[in-house]
Amino acid sequence: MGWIRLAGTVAVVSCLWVLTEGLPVFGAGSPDPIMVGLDADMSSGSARSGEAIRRGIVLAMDEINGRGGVLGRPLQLVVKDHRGNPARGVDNIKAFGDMKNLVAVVGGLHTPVALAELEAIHKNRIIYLDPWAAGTPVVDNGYDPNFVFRVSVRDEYAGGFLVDKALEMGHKKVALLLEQTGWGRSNERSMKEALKTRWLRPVTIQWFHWGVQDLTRQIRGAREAGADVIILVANAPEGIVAVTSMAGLPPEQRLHIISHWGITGGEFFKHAEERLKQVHLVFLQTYSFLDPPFPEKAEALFSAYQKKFPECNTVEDIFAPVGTAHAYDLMHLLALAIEKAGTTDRPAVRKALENLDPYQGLVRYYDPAFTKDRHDALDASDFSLARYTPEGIIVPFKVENHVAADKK
Amino acid sequence: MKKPSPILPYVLKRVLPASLAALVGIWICMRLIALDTVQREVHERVRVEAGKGAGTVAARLNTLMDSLRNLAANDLVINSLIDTTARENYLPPFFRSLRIPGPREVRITLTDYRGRVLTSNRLDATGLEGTKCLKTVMAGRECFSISNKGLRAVVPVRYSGLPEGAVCATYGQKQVSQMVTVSEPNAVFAVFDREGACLSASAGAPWKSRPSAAAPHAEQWIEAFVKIPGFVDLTLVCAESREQAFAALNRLDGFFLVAAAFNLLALFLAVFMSARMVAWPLAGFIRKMDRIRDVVQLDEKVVESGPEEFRRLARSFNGLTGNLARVTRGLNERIKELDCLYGISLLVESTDSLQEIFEGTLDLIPSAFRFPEMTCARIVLDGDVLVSNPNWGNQCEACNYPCISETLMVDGEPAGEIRVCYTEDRPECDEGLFLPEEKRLIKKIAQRLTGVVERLRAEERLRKTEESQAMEAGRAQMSALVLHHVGNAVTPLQVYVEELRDGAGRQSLNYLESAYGDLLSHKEGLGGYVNRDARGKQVFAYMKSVIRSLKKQDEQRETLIREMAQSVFRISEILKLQQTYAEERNDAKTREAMNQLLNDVSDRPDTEKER
Repeated sequence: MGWIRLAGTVAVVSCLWVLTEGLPVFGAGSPDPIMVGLDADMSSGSARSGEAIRRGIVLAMDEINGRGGVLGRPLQLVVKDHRGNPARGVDNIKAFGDMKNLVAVVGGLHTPVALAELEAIHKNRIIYLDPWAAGTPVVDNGYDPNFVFRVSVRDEYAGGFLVDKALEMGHKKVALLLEQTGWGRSNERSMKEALKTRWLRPVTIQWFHWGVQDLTRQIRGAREAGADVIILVANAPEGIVAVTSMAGLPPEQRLHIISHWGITGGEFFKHAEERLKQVHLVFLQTYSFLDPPFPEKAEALFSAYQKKFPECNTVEDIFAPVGTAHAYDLMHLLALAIEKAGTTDRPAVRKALENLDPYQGLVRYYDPAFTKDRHDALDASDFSLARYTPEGIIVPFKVENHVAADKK
Repeated sequence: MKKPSPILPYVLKRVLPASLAALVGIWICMRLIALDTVQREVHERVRVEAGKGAGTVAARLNTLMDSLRNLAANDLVINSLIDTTARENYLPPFFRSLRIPGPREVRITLTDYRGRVLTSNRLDATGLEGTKCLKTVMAGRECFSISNKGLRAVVPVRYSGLPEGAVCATYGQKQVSQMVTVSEPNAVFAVFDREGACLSASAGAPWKSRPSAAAPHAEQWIEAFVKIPGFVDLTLVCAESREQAFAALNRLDGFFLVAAAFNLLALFLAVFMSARMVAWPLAGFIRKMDRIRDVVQLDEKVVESGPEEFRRLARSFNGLTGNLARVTRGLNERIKELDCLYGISLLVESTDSLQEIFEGTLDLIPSAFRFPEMTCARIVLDGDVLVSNPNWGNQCEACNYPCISETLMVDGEPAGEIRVCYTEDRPECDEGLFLPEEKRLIKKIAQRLTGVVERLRAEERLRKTEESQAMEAGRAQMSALVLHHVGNAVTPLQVYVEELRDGAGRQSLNYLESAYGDLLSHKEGLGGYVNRDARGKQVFAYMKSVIRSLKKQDEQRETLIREMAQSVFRISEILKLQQTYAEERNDAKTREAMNQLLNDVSDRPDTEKER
C-alpha cells in the first residue's frame, strides 16, 4: 500500500500548498468566482445522496481551485434543496438561471425532478450535470441543443443490466415493482425491452406511489403472478417499505429483490437494517471505493475526503459513493470544458462539453466523456451489483459467488 | 307600667306578626332561591346545549379535517406532487370520486409547496399563493379559516415528514352555514367567526352579529358562549328566551303564592291552638296557686292534665306544696314545742318549787303534742307522782295505748320519769305514732326538769354548806378574839416574867461578885487597896451603888408582880366571860349569832373591853 501512502502524502502537500500558496490567488481583488449550483435533495428522504454529491463537488472544486481555478477564477458552489419535489426543483433552476456567473447546475437523485426541470434548464440554457438521476428521458429529452450531461446510470442500460443479472442469478420469472413516476416508467420501458430481447417479459408490473406505506399487496401480486425475483425501482423511503413488506411475509413467500440504486440515496440501511437480515437484496452500483477501477485516483480522493470530512476513517465510511464519484468526475469534466471553451458562457461551455478530450476520471476513462449525440458518459460496462453488509457497508456483489452458493 | 295581656292575645299580637314576617321572609328567600336555581338550571341547560352544539359543529369540522388529513396522506396525492403523469391522469378521477363528509359542494384542491394549484375537483379552483395560510401549512401546521364568506381548510401533504404541498378544502357561504348549523327544539343557536360575523343562526335567533351583554336583546335571552373545540376562531352562541325559560318559574311563583296563603292560615291556626293549649292549663294552674296563696291550703292539688310538660309542672307543683305542707306542719309542731319549753323556762324562773314547776310542766306538755285533747302526761320523781289528768290511772296508765317516756336522771342516777300517753288509739304515721320531734321534746323536757331538780338540790346543798362554813368561821373568829385578848393579857405577863428573869438584879449581882472578887484578891492589903488603890478606893462607892440598884430592882420586881397579878385576873375574866357566852348561847350556830357575839363584845364598856 505504498502508493496509498504516497498519494496521501501528495494530498497533504497539495492541501498545504492550497493553504499557503493557492488561496492568495483568490484573495482580495481576485476575479469573480465561477458559480456552480447544486440542486438536490438535501433534507428529505434522499438527503444522503445530495450530501454525497455535494462532497464530490467540493472535493473536485478544492482540487481545481487548488490548481488555480478555471480561467483564473475559482469555482464556487451554491446549494439549493429541492427535497425531491419537482416544483421546488423547477423553482431552484429558475433561481439559478437568474444567478450571475453561474455556469452549471449539478442535479440530484430524482429523475422526476430532473424531468420537471428540463424546460427551465433549457429555457435558461443552464448546463445540467446529472450525477445520479438515471431516467433515460433526462438525457434523451428532445431538446436541441441539449444542456443535460450525465455521469450516471442510464435506465436504458440499467434495465438490460439488471435483467441480465437476474437471469445470471438463476431467476427466470421477473416481476417489476416500479414507482409511479417518470423514473419508474423509464425503467418499465427499458426493462421490458431488455426482457423482450431475451424473449422474456415481466410476469407482472406492480406500481406504487411515493409515500406508500405498505407494499405487501404488490409483492403478493408479484408472487401470485409466479415471479421468482422482483426488480425494484424505488428510492430510499419506498425501498424501506418494500423491504419491510417483504420481511413481513412468511419466509417461503419472500422473493429476491434486485433493486435499482435509488435506495442507496437515503437512510435506507438505517431504517431497514433488521429487515435486511430476512430479505435478499442486491442493487445496482457504478462505483465502489472498495473495488475502484483506478485505485490511485481513488486513494488520492479518499485522502482528500478524509481531510475534508474528518469523521470518515475508512473507505467504508463514504456513504452513497456513486454520488460522490460521479459528481467528482462531472466537476472535473466541467472544469475542462470551461477551460476548453475559454469562457463561462454556458452555450459555449455546453459545446465544449461535447468536445472534450479524453480524460482519466475516477469512475472510468472518458474517451471522451460526451459527444454531440451522447450525453451519457457511462454505459453498462461501468455497472455492478452491490449489497449491504450487516454493518451497512456497500460492498460489491459477485453473481458467480451467489450462484455457486446456491448450487452448494 | 303597661298591664301585661293574657298569653293568647299576647301571642296573637306579638308572635303571630313575627311569624308572619318570618314566613314572608322565608317565602321571599325561597322564591329568590328558586329563581336563582331556575336561572342556574336554565343557564346550565343553555350551557350544556351550547356545549353539545359546539361538539356537533366541532365533530363536523373535525370530520372534514380528518378527511383532509387522510387525503393528504394518500400516496397518490403525494405522488402527484412528484409525478406529472399521476397528477394529470390518476388524480383528477380520484378527486372527482372523492366524498368528503358534509356539504357536497366542496372544492378540493392540491397545491404545490408554493400554493399553486396542481389539481382540483372544480374548475374554479384558486391556489394559496402569497397567503398566510400557505406559510402556516409549509411550516408543517394545518390552516383553518372560516368566515361568513366561506371555509378554507388546508392540510400539508408531507413526504418524508416534510411538507411539500397542500390539500385544500373550500366551502362557500351556504355550505359553511350548513356545516355549522345546529338545531334544537328548545334553543336557538348561532355561530360567529372571529370578526363576529354570523355564519349560521337558527330561526328566530335575534343576532346578526356576535351578541354582547350590553346588547338590547340580552334582557330577553339567556345566552351561553362556547368556543368550538379545536376551532377557537369560531364561537357558538346558544340561547333560550327568558319568557320560555322562566315559564316554569312563573308557574312556581303562583304555586308559592297559594302555598304561602295556606301557610299563613296554617300558621295562624297553629299559633292560636298552641297558645290556647298553653294558656288554658296555665290559667287553671294560676287559679290553683291563687287559692293556695289565699287560703294557705297546701293540701290543694293541681290536676295533672294536658301536655306532658304541664303534667310534669303539676306534679312538681303538687310535690312542692306537699313539701311545704310537711314543713309547715313541722314548724307548727316546733312552735308548740318551743312554747312548751318556753313555758317551762318561765316556770323555772318564776319559782323554785319543784311542785309548781312539775304541775306547770304537766299542764304545758299536752299542747305541745299533735293531739293535745287526747294527750296526758305524768312526772314521777323520788316516788312523788304528778299527773296532768286526774284520770291518768284510768285513761292512760291502765290502758295499753302508746306512750313515750324519758327517765329523769338526777346526778347520774335514775330518779324518776316523765311519760306522755294518748288517751285514745291513733293510727301510726310514717314517723310512728309519736313524731321524732315529740320524742326529742320529751327528752328535752326531761333534761330540763332534771336540770331544774339538780339545780335546786344543788342550791340546797350549797346553802347548808355555807351555813356550816359560817359557824366554823364564827368559832374561829371567837377563838381568835379570845386568844387575842388572852394574848393581850399574857404578853405583858411574859414581859414581866422576862423582866423578872432578865432584870438588873443579876447584873448587880455580877457587879457585887466583881467587887467581891476584887476585895478577895486584895484581902492582904485590903486597907491599902481600899485606901490607895484607885480602883480600891471606888469599891465601897461601887458597892453602895450596887446596893441601891438592888433596892431599886426589888421595887421594880414588886411592881411587876403586881401587874402580873392583874393580867392573870383579866385572863380569868375573859375566860369567864367566854364560858358565860358559851353557856348562854349554846344553840347560836349561825353567822348572825357569831356577829351578834362580836357585836356584844364590842358593845361592852371600854373598861370591860379593857379588861
